[in-house]
Amino acid sequence: MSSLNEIAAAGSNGAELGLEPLSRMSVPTPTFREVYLAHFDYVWGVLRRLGVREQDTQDTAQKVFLVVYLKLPQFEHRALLRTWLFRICLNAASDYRRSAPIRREVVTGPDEIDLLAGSRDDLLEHSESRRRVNTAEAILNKLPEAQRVVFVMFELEHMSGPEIAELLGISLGTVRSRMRLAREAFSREVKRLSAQEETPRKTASQ
Amino acid sequence: MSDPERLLMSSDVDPAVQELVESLRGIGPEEGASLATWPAMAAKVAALPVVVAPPRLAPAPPAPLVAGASKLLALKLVGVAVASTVVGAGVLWMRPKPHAPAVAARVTAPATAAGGESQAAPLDSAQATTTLEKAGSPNAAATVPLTRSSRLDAEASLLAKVRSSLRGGDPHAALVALNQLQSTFPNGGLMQEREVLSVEVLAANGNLAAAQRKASAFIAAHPTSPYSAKLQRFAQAQ
Repeated sequence: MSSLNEIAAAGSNGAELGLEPLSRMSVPTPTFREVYLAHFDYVWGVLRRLGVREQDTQDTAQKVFLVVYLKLPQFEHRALLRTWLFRICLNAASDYRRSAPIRREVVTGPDEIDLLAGSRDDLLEHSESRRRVNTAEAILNKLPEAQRVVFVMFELEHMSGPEIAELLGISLGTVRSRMRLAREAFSREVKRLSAQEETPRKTASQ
Repeated sequence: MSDPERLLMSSDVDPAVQELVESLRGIGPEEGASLATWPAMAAKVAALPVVVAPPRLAPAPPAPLVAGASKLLALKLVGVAVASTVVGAGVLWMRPKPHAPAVAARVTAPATAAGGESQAAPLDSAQATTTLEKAGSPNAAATVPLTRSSRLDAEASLLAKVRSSLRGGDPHAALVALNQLQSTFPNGGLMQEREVLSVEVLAANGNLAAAQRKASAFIAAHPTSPYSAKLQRFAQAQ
């Protein structure tokens, strides 16, 4: 439960985001069940994109929602509910990654994906979309943490630069700098993988 | 300075990069995962460590009277003390009650048995006593004080029993477990789940008309519930 406290203490109250309050009169606080059912898929996806392995996502999502349960009465609509949830996910994912055994097991490259999946033939048997997700996650896992978070927030969650800066407590310049570096690293890795895939094909065709 | 164009929107970006970004955006759980995992979540919430409620404000001890003080002064002091108590109580009464989930305000007072009788420690209003019939002795009802968490745990496990009987191909056992669930927890915290399951149980027992009625009643009562969509599909399939 200590990690849960850490996640909660790390600041999951919407009031801390310092955003303009929405109309409190017109936005009633939803019940916990409503929040859970409406946002479970979102939380699950965010956790995966922030590096939580599929087999650990359910447990981590439950941690997130326990914090939501505890903090929901204090949620004051100063931020959008999703922004608030994202912040809790961010803390939960960070907590998750700090766990040493987990960190060792995090998949970091396509070679390791091959090992996990068995042989290359096994990998080919996976659906194309599954393969793409695995590859994309492997690339994300290679990004430095700070860059990854900004990349996920901007490119995948479609948050704005100022919103990211506010949520992470960093300057807009830092957000843009991390975003540029993350994009470069991501593109570079995609090119490298494409080149790797091309080489065996050329060799095979000769 | 505005934000740069997102990778997915930009025409200058390598399509391979866009494809991978798109695949990351599409990551999600299996369909219906939120519904399937809700009972477990509800049980987990119920099992959260309880928070000890702050002690009640005790009436202020009588102010020691200075020896030799006049009766008038003493009366004034008593009057002020009474007024403060009344005002304080009024403020407490007027203060809006926090919308904290009821579980968070439970008192950690485990029931203790003394002299062969179950003697529960003082409980607050959120803690209820539920009568459970001991298995095998339906006439000997045992009064078991349950905290809200253990009550929800028990309810979730009965719900799981209904579901597993249903999935295991024993609709009659599912019906028996469902009846037990309904009688034990008529106003439980997992009522919606119970109602949805009862539709399935009725249908599995061949009572399609009752299942349809129950499904329609649920949809009418909870039009925005995600379960309603599921029941709608069920009703259409019949």
